[in-house]
Amino acid sequence: MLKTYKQDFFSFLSLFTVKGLQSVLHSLRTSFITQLGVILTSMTVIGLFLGIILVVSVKSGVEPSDLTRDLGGVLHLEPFIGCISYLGFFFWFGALTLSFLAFKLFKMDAGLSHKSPMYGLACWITLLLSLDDVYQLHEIIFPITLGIPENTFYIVYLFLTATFLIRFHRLLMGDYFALIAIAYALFAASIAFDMLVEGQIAFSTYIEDALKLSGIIIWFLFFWLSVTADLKASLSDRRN
Amino acid sequence: MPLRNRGIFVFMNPLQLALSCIRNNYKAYIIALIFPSLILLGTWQFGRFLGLEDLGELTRDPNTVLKGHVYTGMISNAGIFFWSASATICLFMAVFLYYRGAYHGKILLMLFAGLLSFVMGFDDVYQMHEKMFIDIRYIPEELFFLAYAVCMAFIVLVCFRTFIKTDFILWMLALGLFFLSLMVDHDYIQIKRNHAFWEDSFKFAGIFTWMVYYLRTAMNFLHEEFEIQSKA
Repeated sequence: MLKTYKQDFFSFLSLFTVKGLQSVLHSLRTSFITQLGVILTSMTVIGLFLGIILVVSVKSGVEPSDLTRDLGGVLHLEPFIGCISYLGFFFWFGALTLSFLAFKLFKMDAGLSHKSPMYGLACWITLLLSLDDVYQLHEIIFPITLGIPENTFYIVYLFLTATFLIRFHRLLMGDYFALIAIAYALFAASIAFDMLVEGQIAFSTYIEDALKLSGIIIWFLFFWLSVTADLKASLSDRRN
Repeated sequence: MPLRNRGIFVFMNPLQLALSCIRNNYKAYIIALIFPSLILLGTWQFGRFLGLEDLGELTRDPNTVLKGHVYTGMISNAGIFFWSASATICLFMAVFLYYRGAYHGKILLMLFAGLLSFVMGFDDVYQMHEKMFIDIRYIPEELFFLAYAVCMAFIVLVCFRTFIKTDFILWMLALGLFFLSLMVDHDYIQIKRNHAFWEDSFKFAGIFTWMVYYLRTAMNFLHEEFEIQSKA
């Protein structure tokens, strides 16, 4: 292994010769040409995001920089305000990325391709849940901005969850089934706490958010553990 | 008999099913319960250390705490998404490649990039180099940038032969955009109107490009691995 690192190191050093620099420039040029499509697509997506910002800014009368800057920066907050909420965002998006990767990866593997649609649907559910949590979709954006009743949102949630559980119950009932059950139970407990207890006991906000965060982390762990276990099992089957 | 083959009968005793799931993988369940508990206990202690009366200030979305405009910080929140996506893609790929016994350069590239994305994401979200470290214990901002540059040079150097085969132009573009954001932030590029908008837009574009680079690299590694498999 050390020998390979040594080779890598000398190969890197050789780039600083005239020949090496020429090869770097050549590589840059060809890479730029071959990657032009990806670069243009990325820039279009970024432009789209920033374009939305300008439209929202004009419509809502909020400064565009208030939309792009983090809340701590806009409101001159202490950095710890909402730190656990941000941690939840990290885990939401981690779960979303994992389910997307599993969906793509399992499609390529003949032994696991039957699980790919399950992760595809899980990806959509996680996307909806995470965007709702981050941008308060069902609380503000859909009912107030777009005029779509809050109940419609709950119906979509229930429909997707029921489809997920009914369609894939055989696959879900693996070794990590209890994790997904615990995650759903924690989300339900958080919602119930919000509706029934909020403000009536000490630390009610903390308890409600703690239940939600625990649910998000366990949701993430379900994907991490079940995807890695599937991969391990598939690889050891192939080796045998 | 595996649980999934028991069909509809498992619904007859859900408690038994849950218990057998937990028994089969008790370590995973212990982690799943201890990990969030530790975070929440840490939060409780941190709130006490800060002398907060309402611990909800730490857990609630800042917009809700301050009853701000719902759109405030929307691009910054999207940035968290792309940081988290980059870190997850890289760390997951490192695990996958490790299981497959892939070339170690690929594993290391993904592992280091995942850790770096994670740290950079945390730094961005919690304003570590801008505020947190300055408040707790003074560390000059420049030292953070130097540390990042050293880490990136280290990753490129250690995994050079793998790195050079990737679409590294995207990675360089991401770095260029981060650099532009820094230039605007420190007024080396002077923009009078919507200064913060341009600074954050460059940063957001950088994070997005960074994520696209690692997603493409991960997808290419996947295709390579499955090509090797089909040839074998």
